[in-house]
Amino acid sequence: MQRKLKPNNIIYVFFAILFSFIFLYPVYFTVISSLKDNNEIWNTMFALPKEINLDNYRSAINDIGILRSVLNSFIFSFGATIIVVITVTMGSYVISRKLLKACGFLRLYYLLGLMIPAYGMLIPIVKMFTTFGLQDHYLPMIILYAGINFPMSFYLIVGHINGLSREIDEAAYIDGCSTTGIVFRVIFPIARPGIFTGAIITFLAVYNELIFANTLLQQKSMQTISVTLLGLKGERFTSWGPMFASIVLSIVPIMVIYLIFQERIEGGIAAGAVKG
Amino acid sequence: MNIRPEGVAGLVGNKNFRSKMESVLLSLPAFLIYSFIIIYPMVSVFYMSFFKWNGIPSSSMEFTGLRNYIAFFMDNRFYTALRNIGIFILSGFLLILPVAFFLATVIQSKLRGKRFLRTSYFFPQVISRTAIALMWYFLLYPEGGPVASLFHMIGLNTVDVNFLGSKIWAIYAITVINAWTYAGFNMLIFSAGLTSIPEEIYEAAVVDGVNPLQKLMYITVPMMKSSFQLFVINCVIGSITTFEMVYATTGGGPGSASEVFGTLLYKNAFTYNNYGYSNAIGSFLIIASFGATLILNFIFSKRDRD
Repeated sequence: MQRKLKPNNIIYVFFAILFSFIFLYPVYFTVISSLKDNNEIWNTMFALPKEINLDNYRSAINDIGILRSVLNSFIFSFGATIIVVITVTMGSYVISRKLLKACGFLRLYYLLGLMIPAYGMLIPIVKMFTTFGLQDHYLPMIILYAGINFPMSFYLIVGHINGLSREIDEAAYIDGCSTTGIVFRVIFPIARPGIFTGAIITFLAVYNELIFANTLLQQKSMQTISVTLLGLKGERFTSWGPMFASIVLSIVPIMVIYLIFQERIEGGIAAGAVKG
Repeated sequence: MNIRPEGVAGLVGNKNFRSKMESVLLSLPAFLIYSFIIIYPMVSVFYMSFFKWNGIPSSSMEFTGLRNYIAFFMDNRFYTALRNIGIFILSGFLLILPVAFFLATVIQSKLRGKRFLRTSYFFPQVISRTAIALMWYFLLYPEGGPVASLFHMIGLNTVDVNFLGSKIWAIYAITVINAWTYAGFNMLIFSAGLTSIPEEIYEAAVVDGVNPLQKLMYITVPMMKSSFQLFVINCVIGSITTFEMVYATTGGGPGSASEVFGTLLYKNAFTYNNYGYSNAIGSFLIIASFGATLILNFIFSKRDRD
């Protein structure tokens, strides 16, 4: 890959680093501010904190309850991811191997969901939740998130299963393995890369989701990070420090996950872009 | 005489039936979840868009035909939203496209530390839009916030620094925050395009004495047509359906200056209790994003055939 533009071009390198700075700076600023008290935030705005002061973090945990929100986001993300992975893989296998007459229809039916924004259906969904009193419960919310993220995961996972050789599952079939057995004992292990991509994309999307969480989760103990953070904006800022600490605490877990699974996440998000 | 032994035929039929049933059962959870969460509400949005309804489950819905749609298309805020979405699309072409393309060349170059650069360009994509909105809310805070201080320092005292609170500038401020968030995502689209160009073409071009700008204009860009198409589709659809970013930064305000379809839908339902009207906006959104996807794909696939 030694082509295109020569990197010994100083201006080019300057811009490459400048953009890196532009993307990192807001987060850097948030981190340093989270370690300052209110006076220091305003008076020595651009300087590093004089001393490491963890009061903001104490306040973010005790007063704002950000860890509870992080936990909730994790619960919703894990739950939705597990449901998506299992249902999508089972459904994708049947469609990929055309085991039913309706498979052609089902494929289009599921891909339709890729082209419509989920929040367009916000009102019927809210109506469904209020009619049956499902707000502020984990399971209905998890199922909702599974449904919303279904089309994208289906797109990614069915594509992956299509690319797998049929010989392996046909061999298993001849050896007397049932279709269910094939899905769980053969497809799950060999389609792991595709399934994992679908899973991680779902996880990220649910962890950061705002609109449905904001309308359907009213109790403080049920709120996710996006809802809690948005609530801070409404409080007209008596104290900025705890807000910065809350932001840091809520994005640290997702940054860690991103750094561990960087290739998968980037690959998955890029693959999702091709859906059009 | 029947040569096929009855028993075997029955067995095969049985096995086929069993395996069909298994396939149905395997498909069922997916089908039910998707149908309940996506399709049923979608049909419901279209249906309810023809009614006037205040959102209280027990209160009755009054059939009003197309009145919600007419009211929506007559509303000034519809045109504000349309204009703002136009600004979003424009910002995609003027801001995200050049930046993302540049970043793609960086992560494809042999620059040292490009892995770090790649990570720094992409990470906004994985953090919550609300966290991003809050960070920028403080950065752009008019009374002594960092950007305001910066303007002050370089002597631009007369500039109104209340960007997110300004009727004129709010939408532009949001598009900048949006570009900050999505540049890394689009970088990957272009990066994939760059890798697909064979090395030999560049080598041949160098032999022919082509300068870097010509290389870019006559080789790289034309060879990356599908990346650009992908960018256009994502940019247009993403702009039409943009919501979280606007909701988390300005909520459509001040007044209705930075309204988009998403914020209008939300406000009409949960602020004005005008649920039927909101559903008309929802239907419009669904049709618009579906239609735009089909039309853009049609245009591009036709272009490819020509």
